[in-house]
Amino acid sequence: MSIFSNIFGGSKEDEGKKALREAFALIKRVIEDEEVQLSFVHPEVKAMITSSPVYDRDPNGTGPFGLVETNPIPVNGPIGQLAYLSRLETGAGQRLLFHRLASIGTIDAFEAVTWDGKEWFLLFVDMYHPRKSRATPDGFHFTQNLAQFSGFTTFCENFPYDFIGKKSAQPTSPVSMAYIAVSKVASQIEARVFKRPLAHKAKFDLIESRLSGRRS
Amino acid sequence: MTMAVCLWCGAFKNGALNLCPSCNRVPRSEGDAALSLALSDDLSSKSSLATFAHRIRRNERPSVPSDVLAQAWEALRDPQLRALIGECGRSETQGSTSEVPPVRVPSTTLPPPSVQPHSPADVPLSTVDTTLHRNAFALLGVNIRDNRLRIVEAAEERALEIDHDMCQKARSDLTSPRTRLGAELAWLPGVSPRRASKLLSELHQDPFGAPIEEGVPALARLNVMAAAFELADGDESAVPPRHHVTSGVLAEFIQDFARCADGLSPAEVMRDINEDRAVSGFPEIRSADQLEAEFAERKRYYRDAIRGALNRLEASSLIEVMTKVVEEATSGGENHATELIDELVDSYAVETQGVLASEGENVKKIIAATRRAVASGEVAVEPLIDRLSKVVRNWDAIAQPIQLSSKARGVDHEPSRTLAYEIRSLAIDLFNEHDMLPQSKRLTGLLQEVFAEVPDVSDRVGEDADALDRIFEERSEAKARASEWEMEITYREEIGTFFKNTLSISPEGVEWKKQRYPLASVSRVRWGAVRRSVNGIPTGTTYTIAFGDSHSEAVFDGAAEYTFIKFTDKLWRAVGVRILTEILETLKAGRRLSFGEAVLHDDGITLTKHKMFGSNELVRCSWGDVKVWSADGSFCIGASNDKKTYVALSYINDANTHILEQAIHMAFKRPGLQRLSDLLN
Repeated sequence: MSIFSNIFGGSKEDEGKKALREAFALIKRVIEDEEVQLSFVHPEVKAMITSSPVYDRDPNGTGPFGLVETNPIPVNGPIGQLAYLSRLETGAGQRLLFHRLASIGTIDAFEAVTWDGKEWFLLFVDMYHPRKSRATPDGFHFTQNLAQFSGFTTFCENFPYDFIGKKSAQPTSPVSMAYIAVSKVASQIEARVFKRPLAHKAKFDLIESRLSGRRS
Repeated sequence: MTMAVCLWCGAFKNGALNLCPSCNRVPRSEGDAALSLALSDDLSSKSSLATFAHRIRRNERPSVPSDVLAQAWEALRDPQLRALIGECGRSETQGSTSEVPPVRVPSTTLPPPSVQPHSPADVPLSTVDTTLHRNAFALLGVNIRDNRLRIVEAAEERALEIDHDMCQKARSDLTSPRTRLGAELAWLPGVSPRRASKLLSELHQDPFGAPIEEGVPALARLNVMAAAFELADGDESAVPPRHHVTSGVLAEFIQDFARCADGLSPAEVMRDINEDRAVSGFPEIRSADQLEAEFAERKRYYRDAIRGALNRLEASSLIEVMTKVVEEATSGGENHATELIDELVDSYAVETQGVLASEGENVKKIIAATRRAVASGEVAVEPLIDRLSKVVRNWDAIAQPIQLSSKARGVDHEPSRTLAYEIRSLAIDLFNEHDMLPQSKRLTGLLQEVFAEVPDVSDRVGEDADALDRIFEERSEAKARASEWEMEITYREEIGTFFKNTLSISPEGVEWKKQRYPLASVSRVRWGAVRRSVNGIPTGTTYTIAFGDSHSEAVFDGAAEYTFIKFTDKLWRAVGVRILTEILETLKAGRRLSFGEAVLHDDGITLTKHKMFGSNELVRCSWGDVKVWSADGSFCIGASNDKKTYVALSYINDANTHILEQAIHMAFKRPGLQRLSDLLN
């Protein structure tokens, strides 16, 4: 059967499959290959990133890793931020939706919520490093699945309810193709399960006054 | 952003836990944080917030519903929030004039309403966390004379501000007869409420400042002092509630504490507690035995509090404080210390055991290295002894408090003793086997200095040091004498107008015209002078000096009297005395010696009887039967009763005549001398 299909017009089908395979391979590389992630960065910033020290945790960092600005998570550029935060999974097996609030100096502050809306976090990330940290904040681990992107390196006014709109608004690119399917979070958004708890608001208030940079 | 009311000044601010722009303060304790969250629009309505603000400004307590507080406490369980409170507190206080980081401890009092300046003394009492401040009386804000009803009321009131469970436990501790005694003993029994409040305030302001006023009972005094230990910090940059304390002050404080603890009387404590109980309505304690278990617990706490303070010091300061304390407490190891000091030293001994063992190993390694280096001489040994001294002194600095305490208790500190004997053994071997007196003395001195507090070692090493001192002194004297003798016998002169020849004598030998004899080999000497005249007119004197061994002889003839006198004097000192001794020893051994015609025995001399007719005859005379005189350049020995019996030994020609003359003169100065060798005695 395969012999016949190869003889009679089977090559067209192969081309389609090949294109798809290549597209998937590119998405996978965007998600997982740190070199590819750095290729999206402006050359000057890239030079700064590649000349920075490589480590999983800042040896001079203080406080709980990733949960305070004094001990940020080192990652490789903005796509590295997307890739790292998208890989995080809580102890309950929940991945995160996230967006960037602003920065405190060179440290970016991200607000994150689990896909089921039950847990909220602030995560502090330092993108000026050649590679992503292999460590996770307390209470997190890396997902075993392909970690398609589930957040943004920009501020979302109506986080996370505007996730679908923000995703749709992105121009088509290898990065936009690397995002999770909307269906993964659509039902939760529709059910409006995302509500910031008191502790999270207090955390937000505490860092709010120190945030700088445009929320864009 | 959340709108909130500042619990300190009642002003409205953004963010419940954020810095208040009006009073520049942040919530410092968990209780404050919970209350602050409750005073925010996340948990309270705007009208409620206005009421809270109004009450706080009027210095009144805001009445927060318990379910609201519970929600606030629940929020504070979020670990990231707790971490961020710490971080934000730091960054805000760094950026503001405040230097006080927030301390998350249960609140014990409501914050003062007015704005306070940010000096260490103005840290809220609620931030001071000591065992005393965690006492149930302090937590509920009741005094030791309050009755059961007042305690229950206070617990309900305080539950609005601090953790409910904590309040309930405190209430239970104070109202249950089983647990109340422990709380009382850990509080300030016998102290009036007003004075208790003053003591806490002073403790908060300056724990090591003014001494506690007279009249405060011993137990209360000890509890306040122990709380002060909890606040002590060796770091100069310590921020309140911790207080920097110097080694000297801490040492003094520990001694005062130990003296006070020594004077603690269970009977007096029981009396004080019963007096308070008579007012509060709780049943009296019937016997001091009831206090026993609680007292043991108190002692353990006191010891831990002091150890905690010591452990917050740099290692060198810790050792300094311990040494000072033990030195004072034992009067340099002469008197028994108090029980508390002994216990402290025991703890110290346990904690330093590892360090001492490791340093002791280093000492042993250096000793072994020194023994190996001995073959290479003193140059190789000296730097190792330097190193050994350094390590041993370090060791001793750490062990000093233990040594003093052991001495005071009448026992030797075994590790010190073992180490000292290892070093002593090296010192002995260095001297006995390798004659390295200076290095041996150095080690002995080191032992005396370092192990003065170990009586057994001190005594032994003292004896060693005396012996080594004596040997050293003797050697020094011998060296000085040798040096003096060297100077006395040394002479050198170039003789001759055109062709110079050297006449010299020194420890290396005696020499004339390149004929040189080591001093030890010279076995004969003679010297004399011959005056010459022509027709009765003196034409000069020829001086002759000869010296040599059993094979040859060097003969010097010269005209200078000075040279003759000087050289013969040196020659006598250099070899004359030795040859005299050798003659006497030969005689003592029973052998005979010939001098010219005379034969010398130990007990007499064989002379020649000169006869006019016939051959001369040999006559043996004892020393008591002879007389001596000088005539015609000879030394004459004759029989006392026969003037024909004599021998004449030429000074200038017969070897060792001067020496024999000296020996016989010396013998004649001893009446009744039988044997010439008796001169050796």
